[in-house]
Amino acid sequence: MNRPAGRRGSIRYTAVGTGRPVLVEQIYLISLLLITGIILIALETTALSRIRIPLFGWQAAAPSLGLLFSMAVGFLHGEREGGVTGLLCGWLSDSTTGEAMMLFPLLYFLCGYLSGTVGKRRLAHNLPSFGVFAAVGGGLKCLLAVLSASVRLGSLPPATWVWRGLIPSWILTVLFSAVVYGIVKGEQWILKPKA
Amino acid sequence: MSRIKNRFFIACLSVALAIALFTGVFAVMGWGSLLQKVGSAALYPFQWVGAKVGSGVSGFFSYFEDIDSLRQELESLREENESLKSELIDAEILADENSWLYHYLSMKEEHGDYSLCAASVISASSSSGEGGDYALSLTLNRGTSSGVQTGMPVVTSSGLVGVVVETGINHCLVATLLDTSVSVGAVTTRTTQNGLCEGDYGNLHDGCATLRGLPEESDVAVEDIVITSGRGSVYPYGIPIGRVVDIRSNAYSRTTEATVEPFTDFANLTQVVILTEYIHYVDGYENTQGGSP
Repeated sequence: MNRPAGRRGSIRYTAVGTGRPVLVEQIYLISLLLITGIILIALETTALSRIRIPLFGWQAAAPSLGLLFSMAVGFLHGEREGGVTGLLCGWLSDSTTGEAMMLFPLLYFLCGYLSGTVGKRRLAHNLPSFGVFAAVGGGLKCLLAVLSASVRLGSLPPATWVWRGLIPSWILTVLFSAVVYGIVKGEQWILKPKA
Repeated sequence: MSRIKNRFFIACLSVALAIALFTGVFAVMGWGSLLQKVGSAALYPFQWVGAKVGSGVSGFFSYFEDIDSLRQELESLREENESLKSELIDAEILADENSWLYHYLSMKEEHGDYSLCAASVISASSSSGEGGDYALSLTLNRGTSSGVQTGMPVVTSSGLVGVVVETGINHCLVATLLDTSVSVGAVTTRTTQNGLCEGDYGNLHDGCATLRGLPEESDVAVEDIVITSGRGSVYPYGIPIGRVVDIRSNAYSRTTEATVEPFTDFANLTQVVILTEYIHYVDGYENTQGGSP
């Protein structure tokens, strides 16, 4: 593998083995990531928004696939890719919620970027490490939801809403981290130069 | 490199903050967010597909979510099914009984000169044949306490069954038309030729009787109807016996014999009528008044 030192996880090395220019490789990557991101967010807001966990009163909850995807891209490809993906996925996710203030682009960007920088320097690149990131990212999203609700209501939101709405969503986010990690890993394998 | 990264970070952060700020300001000013509309439009086709997939998956998993209620429903449906089966059996019995009573009433209306005693078949001694087990003798639930005596004819709405050959206080034994010991004076309706209709070992496996004693030159034909002639003082005139299905000549006795398929279904007899009293006719002419067998 011809990986430049200090760029572990970045896509820049892929151009070395394929013989294709770096720009083309970047276009491939961006297209693939964009399509995957759109599909994941569409799934998050439709098919996967009806998942019910019995312990939490059978209320529907959805995993934050957009957030997971941003973090996985940052974790496996690099902070730049993670940041841009986070920005786009946050924008798309917020487009479906109809919130007055679009804060998800900011959150997703920070999560995607930081998972790239912190993951590269502090943690091994494997699934358990990403699981930790997913748990923290999911927690931050829940915190943001609580803050938004508090601002709207003028007081703390009801505990039932947190118990039946946010915690199932956080659990699902952590559980689905393995799936999203696998998807991004698979994409990385597709773009990787073959011997 | 670090500067570039920082520039990138700052630029993206600025964009994110700008998005948040502008959408918030626009929302306060009462304008819908253009960014949200663009995002929704981009996502819509994928969401449409996702919703279709989701509804399919949801429909599949809702089966498992409702498994407890489905089990309960299945249990209650099983109980209902058992109950309905039982009711159906009762209904079938009632329908049979109703049909029988209807025929019984018809017989009473048709033959005002008959005194009838309805009886149920308790048991039957049968001979196995191609069409089933044909009853040779029947035990009925009526006996001398009901006025039943030996020699009384037994019929159904279809035709002749046989004759009472033995009586008890509350039961009686009937030898059917298929029994070789029974002979019935019979006449063909078309040719008015007399003969004796008897049980025959040769025809027993087909559930048929034999009409003997017809003249050699008899023009009896297949499909001719055979009824009781009233001769012999046992059976009243005009009870249908059966239909001719085969004709043959007996070279030794120089007579014609016919195989008669009885109208009565001897394989499925459950209800019969005993003729306890009737006006006796012979070949359609009154013989004795108020006679009994």
